[in-house]
Amino acid sequence: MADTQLLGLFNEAASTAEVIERLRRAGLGDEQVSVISSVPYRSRMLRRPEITSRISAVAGIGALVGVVIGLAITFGTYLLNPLPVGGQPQFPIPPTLIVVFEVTMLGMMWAAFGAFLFINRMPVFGQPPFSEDVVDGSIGVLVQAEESRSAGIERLLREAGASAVERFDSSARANNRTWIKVMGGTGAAVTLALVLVLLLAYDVIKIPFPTNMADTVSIAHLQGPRLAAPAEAVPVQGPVFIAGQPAVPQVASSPSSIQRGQVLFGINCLMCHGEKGQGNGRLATYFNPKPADLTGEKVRAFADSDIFLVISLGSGQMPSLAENLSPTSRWDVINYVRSLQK
Amino acid sequence: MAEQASLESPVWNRPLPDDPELAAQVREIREKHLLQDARPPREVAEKVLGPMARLGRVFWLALIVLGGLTATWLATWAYQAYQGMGVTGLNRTIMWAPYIVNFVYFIGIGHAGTFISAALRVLKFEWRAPISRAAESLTVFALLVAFTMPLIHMGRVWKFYWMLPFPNQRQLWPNPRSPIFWDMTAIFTYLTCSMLFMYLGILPDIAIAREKASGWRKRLYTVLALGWRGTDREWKHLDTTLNIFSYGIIPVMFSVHTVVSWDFAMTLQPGWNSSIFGPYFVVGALYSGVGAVIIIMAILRKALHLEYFLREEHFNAMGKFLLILSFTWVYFYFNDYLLPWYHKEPILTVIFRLFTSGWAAPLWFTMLIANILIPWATLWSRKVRSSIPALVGVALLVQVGMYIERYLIVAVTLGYPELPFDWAVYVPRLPEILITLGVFAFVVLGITVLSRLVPIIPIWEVVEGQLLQGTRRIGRAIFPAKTEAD
Repeated sequence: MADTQLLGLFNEAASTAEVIERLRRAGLGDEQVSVISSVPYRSRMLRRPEITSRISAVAGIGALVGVVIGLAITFGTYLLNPLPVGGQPQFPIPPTLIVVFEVTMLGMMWAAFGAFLFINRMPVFGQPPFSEDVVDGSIGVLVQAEESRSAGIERLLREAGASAVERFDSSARANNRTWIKVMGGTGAAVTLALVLVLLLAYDVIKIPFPTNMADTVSIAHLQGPRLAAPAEAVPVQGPVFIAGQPAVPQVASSPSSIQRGQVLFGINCLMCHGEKGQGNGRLATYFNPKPADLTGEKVRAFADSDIFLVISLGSGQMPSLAENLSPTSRWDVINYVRSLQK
Repeated sequence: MAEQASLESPVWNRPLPDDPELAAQVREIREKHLLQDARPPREVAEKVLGPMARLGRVFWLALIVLGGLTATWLATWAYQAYQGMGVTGLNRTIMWAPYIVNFVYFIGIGHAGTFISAALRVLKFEWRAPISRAAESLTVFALLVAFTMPLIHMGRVWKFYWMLPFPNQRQLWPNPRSPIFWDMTAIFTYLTCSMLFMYLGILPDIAIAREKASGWRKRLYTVLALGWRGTDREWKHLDTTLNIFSYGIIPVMFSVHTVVSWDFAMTLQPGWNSSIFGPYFVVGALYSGVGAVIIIMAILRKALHLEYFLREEHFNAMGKFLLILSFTWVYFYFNDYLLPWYHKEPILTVIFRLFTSGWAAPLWFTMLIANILIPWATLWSRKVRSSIPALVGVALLVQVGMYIERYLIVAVTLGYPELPFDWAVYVPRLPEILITLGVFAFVVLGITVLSRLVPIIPIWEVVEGQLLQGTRRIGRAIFPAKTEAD
């Protein structure tokens, strides 16, 4: 059965609706007639049956797939890569909701777009019937009928006021086979590209290219000196625990401070560092390495604040004396140690 | 073939009333409203497609200048990637500055396109028809730029894929608890869906262009049109798909800028840690975005001679929109300002004093003048809203104001963490300045080129709108009337 397609062109909606009604009366089914226009005329305007679009359903499925993917990304990560989260829940709900929402919407809209292409078999290959006049505002009524009836239908179209009737033979149709080939090829190309990217990402294919931050020429902002506090900064109460910076408030060296320091030194330091601070206290034999010689070059080179830090935090086998000595007492001890070094 | 005269149906050839007084009224309505001023589709298409193909001297000059700036951006980026982030003015305290400011700004600009296109489509505001595509193209290019900003900011940009949701070769997993990860998903969704949304709307117009064009344009449009013919089934599916996108993309749009604000609000940085940041950022985004659309509309109108499409009524409507958004933005800004001001947390007091009387005061007051004082003083007047130069001037000021606002939030506030010895000031250096200039140029370049490649006015939407509008006479007066076809 060789079908012929006839495209009648009409100037406006009223005459188009009229001719569609006449075609129906002539015994043509709704599926044999379609309308081509450059503006969306509603079905009611042209007396055409209401078209239902399945795209919403596909979009719904896409949204569900999105939910699943979103949950897989989030919960998959929580499960397979457990992180210490400091008492926070290992499976947090609010951040999950955000990610799942975005992926759901992504799934919905991509699916809608994909469905739109699929249902319309876009991109269209082949030469389906079309007339240039449509873009100038004409409404085309496309009738598909057997060859034998075509003459009668053409007459009907012309009588109904068609400004032109164009005839297309059965070869004028969309070529679905090419469409399947091209879409399949596109899918394969995308998959291949993805595989290639993964091979690169997992270093299966290596590109010799220095990527370490240490190789970077300029990382100035990470190397510069720590900034000094601006003038309006809130003053820091108590000693600063940072090497190279003066501790506040430092107790000035004075005979009374040295004397207090000597007493405290005797209680807290002497058993290891020795009476004269030379690292030869009674317990020194039990240590390896030996307690530091407080009169030696190394400790002489220390800043006061360095010694303060060692007393406060401990160092190596030496325990922190922060509980034994108040900050002021620590300064007294430091003043005494400095007097030993003279 | 159809004869010229017989093509003209009553829709675009409605006769004037015989009564001269009524005829004058109809003429006035047609002059004012695009959708009442129906012309044959052939003529409408010609008004869009004609200027598109005529590339004048100004176009080539713009192409060279903007292209040069864009090339400078890419070269600077390459230099910075090779040298390391040390070439910028970033310091240890202010590690988020110019690129993140641009990021927030361009994401914001990207909001108006979708809002105008999707929200006004859902609400059936017909006047949006000629504006929507220019707004969408602004969205797409602004989002592209916004998407590159974190990459530029990253330094070692080739590690970008570490953000993607799969464990990389070092078994480093992107953390879905992090706002940066939310950002990734939100912007990816918004960017790709905005592009698809725009493309869907363009399809019927590209099909029109395909029939009218010749040479390489014909080949290009034949591919891009995907074989669109405009059958009733195609139209129905397009309508359904566009509706799904419209309803889907509006919540995504809100989520995107909210998530961007959470990048800031989820930290403990004083001045950022605010629960109002989400809506405040969204409104700010719409505010600057609508302003940017006004500027783009004016440029396109001039460059492509779109006087028929973009009329006083559109600028007037956009001006009103801008004013309303200004009110809303101020409401949120005041909220964000008042609470910390009231409870006087010491560090916030330091930041406020910096804005009101410190070194940042000139910036802060410029922002207030540009964002509040001038829009409020001018936009209430119909005269200003209808005058394109005046409205564009206000919109430009809003851009300046909103850019400064983001700069103050990101590059200035960040300098004042809780510990005073870390306080710092950021001073931009040449790379940031060149890159920022370059990306602005790129957005304009993108729209310039795109507007010459695809119909920047949605022909089918305009013709459809004209089909559905007419006049209605009540007594001795004639009014524009709209048909609710759906």
